Amino acid sequence: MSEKPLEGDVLLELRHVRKSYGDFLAVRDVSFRALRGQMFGFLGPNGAGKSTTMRMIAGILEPSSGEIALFGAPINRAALMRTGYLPEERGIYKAMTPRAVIAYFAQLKGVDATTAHKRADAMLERYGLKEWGRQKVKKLSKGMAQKVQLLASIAHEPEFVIFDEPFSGLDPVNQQTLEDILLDLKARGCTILFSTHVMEHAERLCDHIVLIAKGQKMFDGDVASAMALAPQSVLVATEESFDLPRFARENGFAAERNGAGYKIGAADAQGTRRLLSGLVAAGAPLTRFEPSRPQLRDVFVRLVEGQAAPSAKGA
Amino acid sequence: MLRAMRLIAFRELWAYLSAPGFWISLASVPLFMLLGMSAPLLSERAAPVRHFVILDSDAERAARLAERMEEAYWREARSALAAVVRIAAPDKADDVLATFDADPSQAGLDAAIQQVELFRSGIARGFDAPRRQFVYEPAPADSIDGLRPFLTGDQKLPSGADLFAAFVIRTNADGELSAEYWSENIASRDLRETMSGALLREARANAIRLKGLDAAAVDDVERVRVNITDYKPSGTGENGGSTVSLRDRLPAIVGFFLAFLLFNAILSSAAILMSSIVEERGNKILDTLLTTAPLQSILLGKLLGVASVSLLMIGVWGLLGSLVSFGAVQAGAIPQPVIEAIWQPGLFLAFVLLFIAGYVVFGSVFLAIGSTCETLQESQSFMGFAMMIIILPMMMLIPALQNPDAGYIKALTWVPIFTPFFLLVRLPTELSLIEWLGPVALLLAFIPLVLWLSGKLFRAGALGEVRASEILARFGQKAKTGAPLPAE
Repeated sequence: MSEKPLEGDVLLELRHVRKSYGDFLAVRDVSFRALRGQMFGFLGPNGAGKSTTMRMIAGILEPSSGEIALFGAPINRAALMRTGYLPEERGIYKAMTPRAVIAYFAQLKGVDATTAHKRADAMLERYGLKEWGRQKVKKLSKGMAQKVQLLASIAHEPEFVIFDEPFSGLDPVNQQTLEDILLDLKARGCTILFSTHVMEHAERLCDHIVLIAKGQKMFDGDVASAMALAPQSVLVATEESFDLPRFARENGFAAERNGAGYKIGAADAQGTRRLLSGLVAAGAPLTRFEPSRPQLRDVFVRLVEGQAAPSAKGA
Repeated sequence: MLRAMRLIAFRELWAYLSAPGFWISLASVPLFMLLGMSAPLLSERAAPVRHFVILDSDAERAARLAERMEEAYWREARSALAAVVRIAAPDKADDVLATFDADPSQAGLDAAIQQVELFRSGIARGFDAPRRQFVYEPAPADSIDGLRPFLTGDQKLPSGADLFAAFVIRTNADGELSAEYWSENIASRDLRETMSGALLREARANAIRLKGLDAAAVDDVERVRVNITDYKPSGTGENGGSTVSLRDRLPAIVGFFLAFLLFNAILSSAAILMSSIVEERGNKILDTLLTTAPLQSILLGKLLGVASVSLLMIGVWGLLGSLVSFGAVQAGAIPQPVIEAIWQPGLFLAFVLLFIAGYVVFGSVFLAIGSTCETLQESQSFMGFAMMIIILPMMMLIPALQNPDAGYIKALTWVPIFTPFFLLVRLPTELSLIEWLGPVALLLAFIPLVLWLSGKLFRAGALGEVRASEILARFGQKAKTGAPLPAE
């Protein structure tokens, strides 16, 4: 790692990282970079190797091969002290109070006891758990306990956080609170790497996303680049005198019935333009021509199902 | 690293101090000890008094049998007196017992106790003869039929007591004795056994008489006793040695007790460590901890935390025991020499050191095993095997106390995992330098090896590289819970 120093704004870099358990290859040749201050989405289907990769970044697991640099150096204790980590499986000490849990983990990360307790109090108040601060965790609801665990992972005010599926199991209200926490962290300049199955969160929050499937990187780029990969379709309706399915067939477009009209696959913006000009040239009496908004979910499904690796940026 | 270790240790300690189970455990040992100590007394007081009669055509023989039953009681009283006096005033024990032997009766006992009182010994001053269990009563009828209403409880004896049993004594044509035992209570055999001893004596005396010898002389011969006094050749007292009393044996008993305490401490610590690490492993708190502290800090922090729990318990019990002992000495309930015999600073220091060594060895192994388990059920599968290893020295402790120089006990002392237990029992037996220093050195050399191996397993377990469920599956046991996929 030391022979190729990282650029100043690169906080995390993975180079050809692999992790195997015996014959099972959980992560194969994954490389990507996260820049300082980025909200970084780590997407992939179940069993893709997201958690394994995140545990390697958190210093819990060692890669079988490849390199991971954090804060410009191979993972070390000092770098981990500046990092917060929330594992996918939720669990905190049930017999402790939320205040004690938050302060305990902050202290483990080097914060002195007085400051740790002050921060715990402030965080509990900020995120609506003040009245629960001195109750035992076992008395809290699942969502509240999850929130406490998340607060415990950031109480030492880390510069980089790794959240593994932070939204899972949260109700819409708590999901919103979590989004607030993420935005607060981002506003503070913290770099955030989180995995999620909920594409809307990634679409709304992330500056950059990496998609992996079967341990392999499928996409690495910003959200706009990902959207460009979304298969485009157009909702088209004409007067009854025009045979729209026949037109689509003869011009190489796929059409399927959608309400009063048809949903015609146009592949991309150019295809959409070609469809419109074709319809005009054929004298189609158009009553509706509405290109649909691309969805990150569609990109996800397309890339995972296709297992091809079109990359907006080289890995 | 030290900071993390301290924080983890403190959290473990605090977690257990705030749990009701800790306080229950803390209170249970003194309570059970109190119960255990008072059980014999309560049992003696609870035992009913059995009133009996003897039907014998030979009235003199019946009187002799009643007398022999009385003698049996005073023999029991003498044993109790001897046990007390040998602790309280070992130097004068022979004199005291000789006084009693000269007149084995209440008057003789009073005289004997009066003698001990001169030495202001608390126990002896407060000595009471054992409660009389069997009381001879003159028969209110001269046949079993006549006694039947008394035996069935329909009628009381003239003394107002219930008749428990009747003995019918017969002699056949050859002069041989036989007896019938009549009682509604066929479960209790104590009275029957005691009378059996009295009858045997009477039968022997009868047989001797038939051979033309003087019965009174035979009785005198039977009362002859031989006292064996134990000496330690290394002493400087009389005959080039010093007499051995229970006070000399007390340290070995204390060693045995401390070994037992060590067993208890390790057993409870092991359970605490296992459940603690399984909880953290199961809900991934361990993952979070691994990002905050080095693995060694977690391992040592947990060991230290749970050791503090055990040491705190032992400390409280020790303090409580000391206070009770001090109070008992002040109140004259326990003689000072007994406390002096029990208080062996060297032995207690050895206990602390061996406790730490034994705890580190067993604790780190249990912690490492626990790190591979995701559920308590999985950990229990391993606990069974581990318990067998700990229970083995426990089963050997009494033989070790009785025969500390037996070859196999000596050999087991050299096995590092057993050293803490056997050395505690054997230390008061004046071991040679090599006999205690050798096993200790081996144990000390073994500790880093165990810590290293446990650290490796702990790491592999914590990172999910070794799973108890997989190991159990290999041994043909059905894992209680499915292991998650390695990838996520």
